[in-house]
Amino acid sequence: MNRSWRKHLSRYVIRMCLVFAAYTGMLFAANFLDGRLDLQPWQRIAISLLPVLPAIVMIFIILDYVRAMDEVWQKIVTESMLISACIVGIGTFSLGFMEGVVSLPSGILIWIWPAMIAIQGVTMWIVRLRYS
Amino acid sequence: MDCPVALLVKNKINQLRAEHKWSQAVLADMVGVSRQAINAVETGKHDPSLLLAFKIAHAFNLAIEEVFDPEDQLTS
Repeated sequence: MNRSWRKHLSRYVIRMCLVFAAYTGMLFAANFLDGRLDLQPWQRIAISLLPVLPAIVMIFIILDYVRAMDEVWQKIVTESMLISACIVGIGTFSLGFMEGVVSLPSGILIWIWPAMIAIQGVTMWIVRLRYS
Repeated sequence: MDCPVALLVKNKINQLRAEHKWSQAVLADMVGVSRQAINAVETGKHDPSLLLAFKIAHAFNLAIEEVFDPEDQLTS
């Protein structure tokens, strides 16, 4: 990791911490408002989607960080993201077939993105070995 | 028209580093990439972009073809 990358990494960590703080705040705010106010259905939808806003900002922070990487690391991240997308895609596809046969836990859709990020984190270290 | 889809690029980075007594980390710092990137290029696991190839050649003060040698193994 060279000096320029270290600078980008620290900027990435600071930005992600800020956006996670915003996400947590909006999550609590959405739960607080939804339970206490008498809202129209569209208002409830809008409030429930509040935490999605910082999640969208995260996409741009991640893209900015990946673009600052060198070409080998970009390749590692891209390959590991592809593997992660395939694993989560096949997993959710399989769950779709199981629906109706077994009772699946509710709120499972919210775990798709975290699962993709977690699996990408693991596969990145495996893919990295190919270039070491 | 025959169009090559894969081009194996041999390089002399290891030999040149040894001559200059540079570690992979030193060369990486000079060209602004990670040590893993230099290792991947050096061991032939990654064909560098034109810009990176030029930067590496420039670090050794050599022409690009003196560092990188496209092998005569074109596959179509």
